[in-house]
Amino acid sequence: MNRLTGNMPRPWDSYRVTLATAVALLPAVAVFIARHFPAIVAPMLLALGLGLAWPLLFAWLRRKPLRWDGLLTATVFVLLLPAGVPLWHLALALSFGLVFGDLIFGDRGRSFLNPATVGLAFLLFSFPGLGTEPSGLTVTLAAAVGGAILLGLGLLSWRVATAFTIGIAGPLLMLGGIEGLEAMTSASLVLGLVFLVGDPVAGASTNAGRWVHGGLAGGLVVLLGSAGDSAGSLPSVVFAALLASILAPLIDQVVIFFNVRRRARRQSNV
Amino acid sequence: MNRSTLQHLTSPLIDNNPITLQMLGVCSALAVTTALDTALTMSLALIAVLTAASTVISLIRRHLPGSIRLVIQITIIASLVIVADQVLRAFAFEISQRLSVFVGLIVTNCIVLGRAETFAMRNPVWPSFLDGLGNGLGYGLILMLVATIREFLGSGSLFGLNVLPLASEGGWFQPLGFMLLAPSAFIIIGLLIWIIRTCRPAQVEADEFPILSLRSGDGS
Amino acid sequence: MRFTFRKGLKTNTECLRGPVGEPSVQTVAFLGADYPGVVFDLKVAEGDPIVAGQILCVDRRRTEVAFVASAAGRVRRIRLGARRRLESIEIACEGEAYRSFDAGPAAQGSDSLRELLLQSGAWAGFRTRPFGHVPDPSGRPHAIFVTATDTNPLAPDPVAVLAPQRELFQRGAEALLHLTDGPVYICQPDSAPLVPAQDRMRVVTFSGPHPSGLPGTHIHHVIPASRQRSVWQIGYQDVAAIGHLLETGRIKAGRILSVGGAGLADSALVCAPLGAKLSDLVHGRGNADAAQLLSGSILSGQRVEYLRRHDLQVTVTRRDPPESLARTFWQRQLDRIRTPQTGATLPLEGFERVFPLDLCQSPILRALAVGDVETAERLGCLELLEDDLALLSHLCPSGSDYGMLLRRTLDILAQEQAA
Repeated sequence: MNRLTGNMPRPWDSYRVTLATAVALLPAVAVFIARHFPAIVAPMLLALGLGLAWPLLFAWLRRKPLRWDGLLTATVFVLLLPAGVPLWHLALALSFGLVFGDLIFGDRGRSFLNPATVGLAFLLFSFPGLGTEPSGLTVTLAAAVGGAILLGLGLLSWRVATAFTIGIAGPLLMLGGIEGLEAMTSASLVLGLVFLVGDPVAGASTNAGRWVHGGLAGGLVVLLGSAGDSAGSLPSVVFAALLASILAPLIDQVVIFFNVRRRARRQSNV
Repeated sequence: MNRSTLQHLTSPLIDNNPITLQMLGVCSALAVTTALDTALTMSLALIAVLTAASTVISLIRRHLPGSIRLVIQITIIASLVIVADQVLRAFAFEISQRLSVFVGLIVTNCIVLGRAETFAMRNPVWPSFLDGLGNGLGYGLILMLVATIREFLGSGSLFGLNVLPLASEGGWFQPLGFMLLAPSAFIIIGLLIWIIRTCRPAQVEADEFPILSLRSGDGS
Repeated sequence: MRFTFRKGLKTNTECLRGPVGEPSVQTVAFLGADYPGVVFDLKVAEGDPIVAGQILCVDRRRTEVAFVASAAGRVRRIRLGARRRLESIEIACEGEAYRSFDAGPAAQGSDSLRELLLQSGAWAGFRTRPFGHVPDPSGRPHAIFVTATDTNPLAPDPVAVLAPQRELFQRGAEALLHLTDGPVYICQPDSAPLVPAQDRMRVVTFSGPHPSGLPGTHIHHVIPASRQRSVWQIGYQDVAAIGHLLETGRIKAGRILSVGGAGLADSALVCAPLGAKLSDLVHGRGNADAAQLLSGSILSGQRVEYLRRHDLQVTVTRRDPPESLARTFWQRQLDRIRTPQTGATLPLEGFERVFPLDLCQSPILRALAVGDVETAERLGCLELLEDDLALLSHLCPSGSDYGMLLRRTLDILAQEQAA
């Protein structure tokens, strides 16, 4: 008799979820800083400062506990940032993303969007024509390691990850053959999957919905990529994530509709 | 003019603002506020149409048969809008080109029909005039605020005059392209509503589903 | 019928078996919160002497439904809560006097059986689904589910508990056939059938991790409950008690419970009357004073003083995190981070892995958390009771108690139905 299981501490609370996501971010951040040092120091410090200041302000105004995931948003934002963005643009876009994508809704989980996605979308809308950062394979691998950590912990849905991969690989293979798959090695793609599309808050909340959400995001990456820069570039990933997370509640409603109908049929049959 | 009739003029400015409280007429607020001069022109056009329409409808309110009153109201409003449109084309052609269909769309602006139906039909002429004027001024106020922000951040200018040194001309200011898109107006109006309701909590609507917080009992 | 579930929480405990202790219980209590939807009319006053089986109170709206004392003694205290609702009736145990019932006529017809069950307090062992209320005396459910399996961590083993009472259990189960025109399902683990199957008595086996042993899971998969179709559920020890009542004319107020948990040196089975005081049950076993006592399992238990009506175990937890050196540096740092109060539901995929019912659980949790009663009903919350959501409450990072939220929603829905 294992009497230790008589004591079952709650496995998750919101601080631990934040901590786990931060641990998953660490490899990508380390590699990124190593590559871009010292140009990355000022943007990173500014972003982290904002990621702390805005939640602090809201916590103070609304009398709620402080949330630490503003720092995570800031880090993901800087990782995905295109090259050569002036500091005040970064500040404006990140503030917009934090405030309108997350903080006005309240606690983490009340929003339906990922704040980093919103901030990056604002940046890309406001300053079109920014150069995309050169895709480094090491950053991609580090991001994949982070994704594996989150998958193992159950914070990233394997359904979303698989559907996203199929949603990208399928059209790419059809359009460009095996060479087309090279687009899948871009760092912003993998980072976008793990931290933007895979965010449980921004995605669908039913299992069937997760398949659709992931596949939709993947397909949109290819679709939006074919219009401008290649698939896997930052604008295609960010806007695909944004559109998919806006449509996620609708996807959930469709799944719920089928569930309700199936149960109603079962009620009348049994 | 005693205090209560003055209320009709002043209350639509903040307390009963057609855009931020009644939530009417938002679509034209999105489209014309990319520059201050178009916003000003639109506001003046709407003030003129709204005031005149409210006055006229109030004048004939007792003579309108109930079954066709909406048709007659819209006819009156449409005629006034056509007049306004023609006046603009005659005296401010360039701006009327930039406003394109939005002056004509004042007919569909819910503020005009809304005030006509809810106020002018039941009140005497002078209060209706003031009410129309007040609502138009409230609308204009919001439009000017939004346009100031959008033009300042989106083109670095005010009323067409360059205020900030643009990056394309060697300065430091890179205009925010987002501000020239419609969603930015939505967000700015949302921010305005937020500020107003922070100062006037009476305007805040109750939550349909307030978040219940129940801490769990003890589990571990 | 056999059901095997894959989804659930794997706890590496087995059901408890072994010798049954008999601790001396000084106080028992009748708890009003055990019976949602009932407004009580008291029939005793403070200081009255009572015998086991004597009526303590009745339901004001359905006066045939009686609630009886589980031990003989004297009424020590009657506690009234908000709005003069009955909170508890505490009884100091003295003596062995009991009240006899005439079980003879009950064998003849279903009406006299109902009357016997109502008067002897055995009716209170049933719970309807939906809502979890005590059933109407004249109600005829579509089916009755006997829960003879328990997958809660450290629960007693139903098969071992029923082994010496097999005939009583069968007698009780057969009596249930008179209460309904539909089938009676005996839900048991995957072993030899506890009763021989007849035409309306069906044996269904369930195996798999927790919560495959919860009645909610059983009912959902066999006959889902709804507003139009209400079923009743009853525990296996209550059925054996009905059999005992029919056989001897005495109520059987003793239940075999398991007492265990991290706060005790060892877990064991005890026999105690309904509503026994928890501290009496763990008295003298390990460092019980330093720990917290829960009525129920670690997942769905509540910190109350007395055993709740439908609970078959007592869990003893540790009050503070252990200070042993085995706790790593990082775990100690983690403990220092203060956890915030309830947050929002985070729709993690992990929820889907522990919920074997065909319901969309993240939408249900969200609807419950904001009190959106219509959406919750549409999503199927009527099929659930509090213990079905205990596992999700355990896993959800928000810290909400979805059982309490569900009870609130069900009460609102029940009021709408009654109105």
